[in-house]
Amino acid sequence: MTKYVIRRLLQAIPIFLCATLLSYLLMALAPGGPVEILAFNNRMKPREREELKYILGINDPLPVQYLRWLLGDDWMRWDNDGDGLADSAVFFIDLYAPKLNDSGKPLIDDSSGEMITRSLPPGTQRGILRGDFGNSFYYKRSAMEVLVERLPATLELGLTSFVVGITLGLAVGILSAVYHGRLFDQLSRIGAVIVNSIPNFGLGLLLLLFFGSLLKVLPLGGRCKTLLDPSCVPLPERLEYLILPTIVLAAGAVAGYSRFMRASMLDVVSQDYIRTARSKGLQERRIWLRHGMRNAFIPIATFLGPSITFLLSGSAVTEQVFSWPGVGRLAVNSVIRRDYPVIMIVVIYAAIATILGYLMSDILYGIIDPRIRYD
Amino acid sequence: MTNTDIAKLKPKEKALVSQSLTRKALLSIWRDKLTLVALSFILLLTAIAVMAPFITDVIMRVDPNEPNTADIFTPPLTKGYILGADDIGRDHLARLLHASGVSMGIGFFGALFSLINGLVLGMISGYFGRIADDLLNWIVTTLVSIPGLFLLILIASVLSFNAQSLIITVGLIGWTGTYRLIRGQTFSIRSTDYVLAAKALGASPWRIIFQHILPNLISVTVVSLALDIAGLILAESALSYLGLGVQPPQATWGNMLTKSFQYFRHGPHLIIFPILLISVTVLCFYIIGDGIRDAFDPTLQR
Repeated sequence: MTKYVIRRLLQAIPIFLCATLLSYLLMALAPGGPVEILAFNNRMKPREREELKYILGINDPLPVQYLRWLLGDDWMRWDNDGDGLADSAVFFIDLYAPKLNDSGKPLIDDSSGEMITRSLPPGTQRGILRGDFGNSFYYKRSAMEVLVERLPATLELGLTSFVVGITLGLAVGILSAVYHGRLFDQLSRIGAVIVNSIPNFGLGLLLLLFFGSLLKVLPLGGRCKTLLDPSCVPLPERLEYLILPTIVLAAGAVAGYSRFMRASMLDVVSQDYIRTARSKGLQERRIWLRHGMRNAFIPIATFLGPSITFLLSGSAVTEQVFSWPGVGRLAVNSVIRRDYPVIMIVVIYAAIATILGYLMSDILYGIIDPRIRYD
Repeated sequence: MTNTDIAKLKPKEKALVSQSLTRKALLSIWRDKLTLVALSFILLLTAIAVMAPFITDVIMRVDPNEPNTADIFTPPLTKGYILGADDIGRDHLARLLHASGVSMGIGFFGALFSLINGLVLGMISGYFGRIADDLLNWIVTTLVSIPGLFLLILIASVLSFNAQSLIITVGLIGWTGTYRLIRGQTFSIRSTDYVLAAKALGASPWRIIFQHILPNLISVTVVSLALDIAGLILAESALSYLGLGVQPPQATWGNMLTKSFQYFRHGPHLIIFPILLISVTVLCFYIIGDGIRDAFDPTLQR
């Protein structure tokens, strides 16, 4: 198993790199490009702007820019003698830039007709692989810090709705299989389809209107009372904030899991060994629980991958509806603010969550089903 | 035996006539009243959506984007507004009709575009294998490694969506599910005896793909089209809610519903109709998808 996990992790590396390349290319397509936006400042003079372009390497070819974003540029151009100016650089990086006049045009030496050059400062970026996503334009501090602050909220909501969703979903699924074709089965199936048809945010907003605005029994969104203080009181003291978002997120999970569990359970109980168990005279209850349920759990493991991803990366829509200060909401707000460093870190984080989700689901598959051997 | 001959037979004799799977499937859909109701609803709604400009201009004589400050939040069935007026006095019914075209259009064409991509690439990958398969799998793994909504959010940060660009975007990123399905199916059909026989007779790969593989994929394709349309209609509304979807004044079900929640005290009717339209339409597509899947499932044949 350890061997398998290591192999899977190694396989994940190229996929991860492709995901970073894809997201970098998308960002490079943005109007003005990623670094142009970084240099955007109204008070900046044309000369300063052009100088910054040379320092940030905007004129470099795209592969070099991607490499710089990925691995940083402190190893590309560095300072040996400590005078604040770089004196060594790798072969594909310029050590000198032209001197500029006030309108940002290169200065030309009248006698020789060549450009006058000057040394550039050493590179300071450390690259995303070393956790340097740059500073958030909006929060004016490290994008990594901004993301890490949002993680507890997302994990809290994700874990709660995952536990509630899977427990209720499996229970409903098993019961509909046991009472196959009866009223409970029909109602739960109809309920599942209807829940899946209502837009998630519509359901959330209707619940907010009803319980928060009309009955005034539950808070109108948020994670705890004081929004100014980033640290919340311990979870048991603010459960009322968690109820509605959990209902919305769990509803979809219950609908999905119950239908899947029902199908899986019905598939299992039509097999020969269940008939054998019946003919041995085992109790119905024992047949369903010991022989049926345990085997019906196996296909559910395929569902776990997406669920784990969802748990880690959060739901943009539900977090937005309930003003839940999580990762998904951060992603949406950052797009609206065009806060590219934060958008990039959230997308990369979501990619890691996806890769981990599928890996964990495959490992669980092996644990639940002893017939599967990975080695 | 012709169709009219079969119709003349008694029920017991009818059962003895061998029928093609497609014929059986169509018959079973005909008997499945729920699927028929859902199908008729969708067809009716599509017809209305296509004729929306005609209905609003010629029959109702209203402009869906024309504000009328005197009629703000008019309730349904008053002052000549069948479904009332919205926050700046625009006719709610006229806007819903126009929005139906946009939302269903995004759902249908987006799903169709991604379906064609998934179908073509899936068949290429499943039939030819080797380099094509490796390359496509690599692209799919990369696309799938970023969750769909986050990918859409990332793209929304680069361009702001209108109906056309949203359709193209979902067509370009939404085909991975269909691709995997089709690839697997093609793979299993490729190794059947009748494909081997066709190969032995010297059929070209294209003939095999179009004559022997494609017809067997129709039911899977139609089911996945129905479910994709449902998913896209929901995705459009979610994107609109996040403020990243099709921008007003162009009405879509999603942005109408989103805006309506700001005025729930003044105009509850503005919430009810869009949410009902979205939910019922999506529900119908789910029912149609399930109905077609059951109809083509040989183990469920009655």
